[in-house]
Amino acid sequence: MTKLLIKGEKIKLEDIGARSAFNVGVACRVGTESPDISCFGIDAEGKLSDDRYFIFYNQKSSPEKALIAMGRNGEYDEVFSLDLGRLPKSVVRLVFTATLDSGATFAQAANGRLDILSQEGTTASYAFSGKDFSQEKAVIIGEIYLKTVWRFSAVGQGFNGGLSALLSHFGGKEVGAAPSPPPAAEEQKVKLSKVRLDKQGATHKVSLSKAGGQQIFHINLQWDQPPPGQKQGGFLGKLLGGGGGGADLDLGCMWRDRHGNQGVIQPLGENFGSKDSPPYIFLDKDDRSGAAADGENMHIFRPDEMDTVVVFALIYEGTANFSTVNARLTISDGKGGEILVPLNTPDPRRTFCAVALITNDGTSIRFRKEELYFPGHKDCDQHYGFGFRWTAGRK
Amino acid sequence: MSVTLVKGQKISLAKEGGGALTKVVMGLGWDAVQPKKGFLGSLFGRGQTTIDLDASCALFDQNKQPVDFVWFRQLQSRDGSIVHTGDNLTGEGEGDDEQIIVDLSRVPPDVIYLVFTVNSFRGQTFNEVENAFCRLEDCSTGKELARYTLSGGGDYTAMIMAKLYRHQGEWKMHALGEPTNGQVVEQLLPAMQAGL
Repeated sequence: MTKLLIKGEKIKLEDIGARSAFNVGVACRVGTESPDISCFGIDAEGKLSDDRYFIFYNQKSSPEKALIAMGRNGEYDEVFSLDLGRLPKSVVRLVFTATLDSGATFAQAANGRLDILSQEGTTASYAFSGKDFSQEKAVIIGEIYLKTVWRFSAVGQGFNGGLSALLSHFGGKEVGAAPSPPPAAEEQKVKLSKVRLDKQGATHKVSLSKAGGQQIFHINLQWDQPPPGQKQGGFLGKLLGGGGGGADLDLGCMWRDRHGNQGVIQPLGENFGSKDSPPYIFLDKDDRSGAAADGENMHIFRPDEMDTVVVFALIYEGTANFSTVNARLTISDGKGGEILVPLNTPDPRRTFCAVALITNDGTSIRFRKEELYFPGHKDCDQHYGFGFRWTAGRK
Repeated sequence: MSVTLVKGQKISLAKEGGGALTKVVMGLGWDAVQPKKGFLGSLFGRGQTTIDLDASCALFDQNKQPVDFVWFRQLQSRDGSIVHTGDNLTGEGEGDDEQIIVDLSRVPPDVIYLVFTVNSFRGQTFNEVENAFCRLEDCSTGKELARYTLSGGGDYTAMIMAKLYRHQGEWKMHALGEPTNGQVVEQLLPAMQAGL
């Protein structure tokens, strides 16, 4: 029989038959949106002392697999698989949260529910809705915590400021005697603002600000010069593009805007784009050596105008392939967040790499790590289906 | 005498000279691809994240609906007939890395299919896995009955390895070798059902 919990109610897990291993299912609708559901593994001081116990869309498991975000399942937006017996002793509280990164607030929440699911089915259920909240963009739904035995508390507490505010709530209390920094600065420090897309297909989502033009994405490509022993010298080196200078990488993109126009931006052919007219994408300059600290830079001035952008990097000269240059792309999302996309699986046969796919669904921008290597522009174009006409060129 | 199975091959598990097997072990093993040695390898090798493959077993009824799962979170089927010996996080060492022990005589009669899967928990693809195999051993004699070795890597994170199924009153094994993607056993359900 399912025990129905009300806000503020606390129960012992053993009383509802949830032993060490069980699931927690969370569902919530805000308009047509599903909030992001996360779980914080907190220590006795109420802090996230180990960020490997922050389980969210970019980190789906704790190291020993005690906490796993298993994804959408049936009516649940997220199902967490827990094994409390596997948790380290330092983690004594698991806080389940929902956050919004759009303009909506939890006042509009409907059908909110956190269910504790054991093998026998739902054993306890806490329902919440918009009337429990006002203009908050984050909610602590409930907590599983250790107080002699493991217990669950139906919290239902709203938080302003979204996921980063929650993170600083759990991590930013160590300031001590020093005056609290202004909230904006605090947001910059949270770990959430740096996201690393290590694996192919990994994604990160950023909501589109309603102001449109205020939000500028900065895309930066950096690389190292190949170590001396790795330079392609002699006959082979010349064949493979080892000129006299250092390795030269080009940054560019294939773009389609929301009106269906499309094009290519790259140093080759001096297609630098434009800041203040379509496509509102501009390639700043061409770093011919990689020596300039700021590498190659491209800005998307009107993310709201774009539909699809495939960011690519290619080796123009100075090295045979990506394996010797440690190339990495950084995207600043215009809101203080940074997305790092390292090229960590280089294909030694290819000199053209589609690094990231940026898409706009109208309310948010999704960044996906591609790291797909192609023989050249044309093959990349074919893969993404733009359908450009290609001719050879040299800058 | 052990049979080396190829993809799609089926064998009967009836004992030579009659009688039925009672208890079998499905052993699964793998190794991480060794990073390239030497200067280049160390400079440009991947991070040190270990490969964690998980062996699981799903129980299905005659309507091909899942009845239960045995995996690292639930090391025993609810009826007690199938036991997982524990989660190996690295795949280090020789031999089986994870074992699932099946007491065929105690598997509930409504369970018709047992499907064995391997998934890469941290998301590395099988391109980074070497020597993946599953093998079936007779518990009472310690004899290996069948072995199925995965050949080649591939750009996927999970594999439906094999199924044991009831056919006209006896258990048979079918080497499936179907690649799919998923982090935990439940996510492999559609691919498993396709192989029934």
